[in-house]
Amino acid sequence: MTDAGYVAAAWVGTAAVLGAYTVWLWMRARR
Amino acid sequence: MTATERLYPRPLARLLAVAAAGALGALVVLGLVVAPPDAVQGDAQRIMYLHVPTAWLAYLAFGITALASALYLWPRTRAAAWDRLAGASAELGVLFCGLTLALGSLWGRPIWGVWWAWDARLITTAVLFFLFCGYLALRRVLGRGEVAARRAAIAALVAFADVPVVHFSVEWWRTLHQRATVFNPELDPQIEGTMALTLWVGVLAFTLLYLALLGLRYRIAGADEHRAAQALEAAITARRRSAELPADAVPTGPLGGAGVPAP
Repeated sequence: MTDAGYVAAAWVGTAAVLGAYTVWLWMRARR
Repeated sequence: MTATERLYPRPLARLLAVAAAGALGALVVLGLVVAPPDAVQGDAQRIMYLHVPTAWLAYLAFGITALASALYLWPRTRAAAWDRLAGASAELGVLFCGLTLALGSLWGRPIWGVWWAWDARLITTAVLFFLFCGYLALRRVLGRGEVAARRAAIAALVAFADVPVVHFSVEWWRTLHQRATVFNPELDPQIEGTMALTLWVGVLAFTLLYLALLGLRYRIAGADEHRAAQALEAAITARRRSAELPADAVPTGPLGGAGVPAP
């Protein structure tokens, strides 16, 4: 994998994890 | 207005969420477009704009957990709110600590040539991650109540003892992981210009996100406790009702009723 691939995996992965956690909390808070 | 809403009103929650979104947007632009590639590491260094802030946020989150736990243990400041805050912050700390490990691994593969190394900084960080995973598991096992909260608070303080070990591991031992770039013992940051600005924007963005998520998680913990208390109250009322006898019922058994002769 190229450097750009590692950078993309890091940024997209972080956004996905934090985004999923935020949505999960948001849905629990609205319950 | 509930106690949670007094401490963390909804307009403040919205403001924090909007500020966090704006700062994260600025971080994406600065980290992926504006900041130049590193002279030695090339583009792989852009992972540091996430790795370093998540590591600092893990320290902060576990620090808040330790502080709230100490305030819970101190008899004069003991309040259920501190226990709730400790649990909420620990969950976020585990999230950021897990991200720190994953991002470090993604950076290590192109720069060090390996996903993982048995290095003092990496090992102590992994230990910190598992210690607080254990703390969260312990909270679930212990349940609710004052004794449970006290035991959880002691566990949090024990787990937090690893944080200074993580931070100073690069000074105390010869490590593959580099020394602190900003908060080094000389207090002489070895980073300048756009790269430093991007790093600070990253720290600000993740701190705002942490505060926004902490408020949300704290509110959920309060609602869960309220629901559990209501469910317990309903169960006790139902049990009392089922145990009540009709007013015209004739007692039976060895101490009363038709089978026992009157004295």
